[in-house]
Amino acid sequence: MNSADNIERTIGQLHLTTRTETDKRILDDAFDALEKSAQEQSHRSVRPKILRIRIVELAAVAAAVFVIFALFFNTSTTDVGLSDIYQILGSVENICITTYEPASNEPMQIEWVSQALNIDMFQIGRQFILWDIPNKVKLTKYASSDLVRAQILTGDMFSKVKQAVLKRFGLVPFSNLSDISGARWTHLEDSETQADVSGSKIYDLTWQGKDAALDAIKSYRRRFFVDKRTNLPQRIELYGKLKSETEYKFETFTVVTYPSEDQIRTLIQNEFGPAALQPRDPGYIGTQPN
Amino acid sequence: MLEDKRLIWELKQGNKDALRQIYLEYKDTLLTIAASLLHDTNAAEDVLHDVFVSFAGSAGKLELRVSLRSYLITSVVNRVRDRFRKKKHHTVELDKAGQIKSDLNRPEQSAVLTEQLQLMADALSQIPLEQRETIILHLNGGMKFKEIAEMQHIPMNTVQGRYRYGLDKLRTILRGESK
Repeated sequence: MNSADNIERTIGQLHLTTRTETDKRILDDAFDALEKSAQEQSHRSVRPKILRIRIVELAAVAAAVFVIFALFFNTSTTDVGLSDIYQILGSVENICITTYEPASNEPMQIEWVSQALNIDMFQIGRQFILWDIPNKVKLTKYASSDLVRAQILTGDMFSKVKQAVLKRFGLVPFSNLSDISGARWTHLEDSETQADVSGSKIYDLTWQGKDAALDAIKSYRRRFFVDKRTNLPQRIELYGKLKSETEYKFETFTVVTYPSEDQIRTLIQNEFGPAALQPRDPGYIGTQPN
Repeated sequence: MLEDKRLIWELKQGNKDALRQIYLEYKDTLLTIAASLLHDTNAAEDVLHDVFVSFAGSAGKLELRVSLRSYLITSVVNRVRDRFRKKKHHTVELDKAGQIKSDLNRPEQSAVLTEQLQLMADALSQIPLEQRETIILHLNGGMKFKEIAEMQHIPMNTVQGRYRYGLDKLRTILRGESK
């Protein structure tokens, strides 16, 4: 065989493998970086938390006033700010977030979070993954069988997952426009958008950031369809545009609904069996394949 | 892509197992790409190190809009380009003995193959970086021309042209050396 005659095949056979000491060095440093990143994230959230406690008290009063106002005037005419949405998401107990690619009717992922049940569950294709915080266990139900595999959540992992459940579900990238230089929040008219979500007000959040993968500055746009009565997001569209591009590219969208605690509990028990969410024996390890 | 989403979600929770899983899945592909572009295994390991440390350090802010594989390959390519830009790169021969391995296990073929792979690695180092990048990303990274075009922000025709011209140059170099 001559390399010149089989160039593509020969290049395809080029394969290097890392040395064991290289793996150790890289993983050790990457784990340190991961821990540092997690610490920075939690420090950043301390101040807003203190502020949020006060805001929640005020928000309760404001919400009562808002309900009375809404009853009299049927719909809200007041513009909603980004921080309003951030706050109101903080009071949501149960949520279902379904993510799609623009041209697809099949969801990429469905996520249910219930602060009432203290769970976070994903459906990816036909696979279900349940993070059951009270039982400190992660359950995975595979598409190919009814077997449920359990992984015990321990120590650090458990507390981080618990924190994630208490966050804003990743729907709002930051809480205040002033946090990001050049960020803008704009109210749009219905005629300016393609999606038709009845009873909603539409806002664009735009900002610039660095896309680490492309190593390039990117303009981001999140289009929020916000319920006129409750100010809760119903649909969020994600767009991106590189400096060299003139038009925003529609990347993904999420449909947000707010099921009841019972609806989520029923869904979990349908998928993981009637014993799901019941207090478990500490020795429980799920149904493992033989 | 769906598995990627789950891994990224777990990574954002600080899950080290997810990071280890991602590393083990992609490390060899990324190292091969970096080494083929740089023609230097030590520098390639440094690139792999920087990519994963940076990836782990920005996990909390990560918003994945392409597949994890494309994201990591793009990160490697950008680091390689930085090295060329900064002219800190020193060419070192690929280590024949230790690290190149063939997918074929039969001993009578592996010695020949190793020699051929070394010749190919040397030839690759002699063609322009943009052609080398296109060839390596397509053949070793498993990326389609369309994905490479999007990554490099150039038309697909240009990518196909670079690929074709690159292969022609490699053929010329290899024929010259094999005589």
